Amino acid sequence: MTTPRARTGAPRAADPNARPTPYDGLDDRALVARVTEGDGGALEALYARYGRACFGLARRILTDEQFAQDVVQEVFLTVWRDAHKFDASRGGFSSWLLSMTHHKAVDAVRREENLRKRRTTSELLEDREVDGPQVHDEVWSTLRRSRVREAMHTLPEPQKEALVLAYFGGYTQREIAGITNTPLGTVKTRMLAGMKRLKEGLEGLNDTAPILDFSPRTAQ
Amino acid sequence: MTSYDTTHEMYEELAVGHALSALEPEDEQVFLRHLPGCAACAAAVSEHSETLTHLAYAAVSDSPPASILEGIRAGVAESGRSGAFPAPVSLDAARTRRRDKTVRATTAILGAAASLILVAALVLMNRGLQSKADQQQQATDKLNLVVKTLLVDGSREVKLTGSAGKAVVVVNGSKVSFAAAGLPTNDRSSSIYVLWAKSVSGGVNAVGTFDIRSGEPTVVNDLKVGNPNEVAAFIVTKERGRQAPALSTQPAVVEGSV
Ligand SMILES: [Zn+2]
Repeated sequence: MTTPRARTGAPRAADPNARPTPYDGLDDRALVARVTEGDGGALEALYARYGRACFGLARRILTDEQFAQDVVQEVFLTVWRDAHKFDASRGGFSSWLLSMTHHKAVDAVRREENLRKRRTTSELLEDREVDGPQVHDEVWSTLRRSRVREAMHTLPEPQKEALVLAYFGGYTQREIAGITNTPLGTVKTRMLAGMKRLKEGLEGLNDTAPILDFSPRTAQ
Repeated sequence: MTSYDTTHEMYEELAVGHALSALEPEDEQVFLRHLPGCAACAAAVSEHSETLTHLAYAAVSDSPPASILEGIRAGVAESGRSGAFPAPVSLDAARTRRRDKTVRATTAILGAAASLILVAALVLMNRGLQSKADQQQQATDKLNLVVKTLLVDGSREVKLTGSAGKAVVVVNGSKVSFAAAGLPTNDRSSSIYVLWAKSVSGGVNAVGTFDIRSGEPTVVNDLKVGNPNEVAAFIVTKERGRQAPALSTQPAVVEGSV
């Protein structure tokens, strides 16, 4: 078992064949600063860290691989263009990035009504194990996923439903009111209560993966 | 509960809806009018976004298709947002990237050269009555042009300098490309240039050999270094004979630290 080193970095590339890059030791903020200076390598390093999460989220919302690809591409090109708009005092980079991904994916699913398959809460939450390599950031992701799942399961069903329909289904509050046959005001209240509870349930879960002390991955 | 609290409770609910992109347009407008003046709501939106970031990780995914990264690279390349030495990028991507005429010409020669060494076929310019400074500037400009074609995201560049000219090493993993401009031509019957990698522990190994045949930029591709993370510096020497010696006793023509 490996031991965590300083909590300075973010998850590294999930690609087991990824070679060490000069960006490995840089935290997100340093990479974003480089992106603002026109360093495309730094953008790729951010993609290596978060591309998978962004793609997973976009695909979950859109249910269509091609649309999800377009969204993720657009998100990273927005980062390339607007990295200076990232304000670290208002939260972490991954949060900013995934919010943007969510927003664009939701926009797309609302534009493309035909993508909208009616899915149940559990379908939207879709618990399945990741296939693929268990490199250390994957282990971290797996831990985080199980914490999130646990926290979601502690929510009262109506609160969970409201959050999941909004977040993964891309539905507006009024649409959720219609789907769940609930007054709009109640939906709003449930969302607020659910969000507070979810936050409590995830207390202490850091946004950033610890960098584990792995021996260098050698090429081939 | 005061009337402020009652009113603000509405914004607390709107903050959640906003973070979820779930507000109706009219509610969104109400919230966006309120948000800039309310630190509490700004903090709430940040907190909700952090919480939702965790939720995002519940959306399990296999690795995203490579076409996304290719699209991002293409977008970056098209943005034209890069300086004289643009972002380092992988050589593989450089080869597949859309290229301009000059680069295609270079590639054609790259393909034709079975070995490592080639001369980039940039448009020959009239060098009739140029001053030495002009020639050096022109060599630098051409080198920058060539390096642009070698750099692709994910790799890094090392600039080598010396009184005789300039060179750039582009490192992508263990793959190395090398471009030089302004170095004196060598007699190909009796001498050769050698690119060396000096490791952090002080060991020096030959990375590859090349000839300088003209004043045009010279590009050497498909070189390899054993452990790119161990390299502290690159050095070019001109050696007698046609092979890299085990050890060089020649002075550096150009050199640069990683
Ligand atoms: Zn407020």
